[in-house]
Amino acid sequence: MGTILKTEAATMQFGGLTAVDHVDMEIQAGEVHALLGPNGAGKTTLFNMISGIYTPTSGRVIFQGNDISKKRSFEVAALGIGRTFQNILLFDDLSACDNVMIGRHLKTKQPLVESIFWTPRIRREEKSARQRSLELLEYVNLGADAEKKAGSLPYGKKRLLEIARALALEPSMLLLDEPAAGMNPSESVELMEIIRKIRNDGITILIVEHNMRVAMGISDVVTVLNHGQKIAEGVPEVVQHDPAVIEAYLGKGGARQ
Amino acid sequence: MKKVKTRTKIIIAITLLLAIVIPIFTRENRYYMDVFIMLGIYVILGASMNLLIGYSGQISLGTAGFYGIGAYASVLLVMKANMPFLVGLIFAVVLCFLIGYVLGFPATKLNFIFLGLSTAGLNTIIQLIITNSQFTGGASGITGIPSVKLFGEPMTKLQYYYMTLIFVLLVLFICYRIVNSKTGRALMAIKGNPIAASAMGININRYKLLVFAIVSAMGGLAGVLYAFNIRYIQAEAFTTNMSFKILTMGIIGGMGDLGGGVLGSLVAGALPEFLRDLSKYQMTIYGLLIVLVLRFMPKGIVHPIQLGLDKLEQAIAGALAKRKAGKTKNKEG
Repeated sequence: MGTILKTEAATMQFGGLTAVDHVDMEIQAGEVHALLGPNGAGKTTLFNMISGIYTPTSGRVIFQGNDISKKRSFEVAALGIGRTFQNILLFDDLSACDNVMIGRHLKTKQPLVESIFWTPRIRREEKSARQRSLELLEYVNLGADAEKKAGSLPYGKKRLLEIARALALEPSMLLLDEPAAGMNPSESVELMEIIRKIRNDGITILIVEHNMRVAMGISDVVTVLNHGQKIAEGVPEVVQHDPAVIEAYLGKGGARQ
Repeated sequence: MKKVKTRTKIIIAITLLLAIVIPIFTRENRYYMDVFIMLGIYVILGASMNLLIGYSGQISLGTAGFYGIGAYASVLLVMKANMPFLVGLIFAVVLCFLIGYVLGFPATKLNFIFLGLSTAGLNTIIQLIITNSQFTGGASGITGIPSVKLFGEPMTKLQYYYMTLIFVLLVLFICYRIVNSKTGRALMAIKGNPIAASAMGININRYKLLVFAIVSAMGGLAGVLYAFNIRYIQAEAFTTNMSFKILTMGIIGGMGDLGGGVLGSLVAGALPEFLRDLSKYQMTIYGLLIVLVLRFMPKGIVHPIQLGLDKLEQAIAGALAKRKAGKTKNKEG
């Protein structure tokens, strides 16, 4: 399949603080790649660098052969990277279906002037956007919640709605920022199934996750960050026993046990 | 595609009927006719402001500037170049759209409060240019604006009112279509959460400029209708005070609700007519109105009305069900 996303010495500095420090990472197309590390390790910062919210201070981010380091967020989305947010950024006042329809923005062809005249093409586009959005809600098991306001949904469902909205872009790569945070065990099992389903549909997934059961259970490759630097990378079983990783999580001495 | 509720349809039908019929009875009374025409103009301004604040989450305290540009551009073209009214109107609307697009640039860079301040500054600049330029008649303004002709005859006040009404409906229709399309969803997404909107591929700057230009064009249209009704224009009419008044109209009805925008414009527009004795305190009253409405009815004055109608609907449905049940009982008996 080949490499879909690559970071080359990606670095992000905020004043004197280096949040992400020369990180080299390669993600193969079709895999579920997890990004782990203790709080403040730079995982979300790296996510924001990839998705165009931050411009790396130095280094490069390469997606499908194109340098996207300097691209802005909406341009990165247009190239085919969808994402969710750690702190859930839904459009709370709009229905679940409208949220997903906003995700269809780039896939909906509705020039403004034509919209005003409400031409048959606009009506068709509107209908198919709604149709596709409802299908995506079904896909993440939110079919029954389509007309509910996003803000009124329980926490776990909000996370799933964010995934549906990101999928509406028809991305080739999906970034999930702590999708299981705040989910109960049965919800995380449901989430893992959905993530596997997305992977089987051919979408590459980069996931930040604190829930080890989820992270280890679904990922093919794991990259571990600590203090902005990559400290380990490999298949979950090996990384789990890496002394540097155990030290990062448990402190010095943890590795001895 | 969202379905329009039957109730909404009934309300629109009644409002439209009243707007068409009432002026027929007052057509001889110049004062009433001018008030009605002004209310139509206010609805255009209020609806455009509602689109800007309520749907896209931006603000402008410079709308009166575009209202003024529209008025002056059309009048000057009609008077100096001897163009027909309609040409002047289209020219003014297009001009305001373009100027709005260029001057909307701060909207892409500034947050809510600073955008408000800078647009107010813009308004003042426009007003100063108008006041100090020979071309625009300076401080004394332009008098003797020709009346709009229909089939060679000057329009009566009633005809002018109906023309205004047509433009009002056109503007509301356009707002409705924008709101219920991809563009409207993009605007609501930007208002709801700019970071998420951008991650969905929405080019925020582009949409901010677009909505700013549309709102400016609508302001320009209102200015044209104003100028050719009063037939005398002066920079005084286009100050930031007017912008503030337009802001009130856009806000108090209910932000992000087209019907609320219309209601707010009618209430805020008609208020001064009922409070003639207090005209000195007009701006104070508008300020108070905003504070009170935002404090006690953050969803606008349209919200309690909606709740009331919900109750009424339930009561009617309940009564109907009871009657039906009673009838079946009688039959059985």
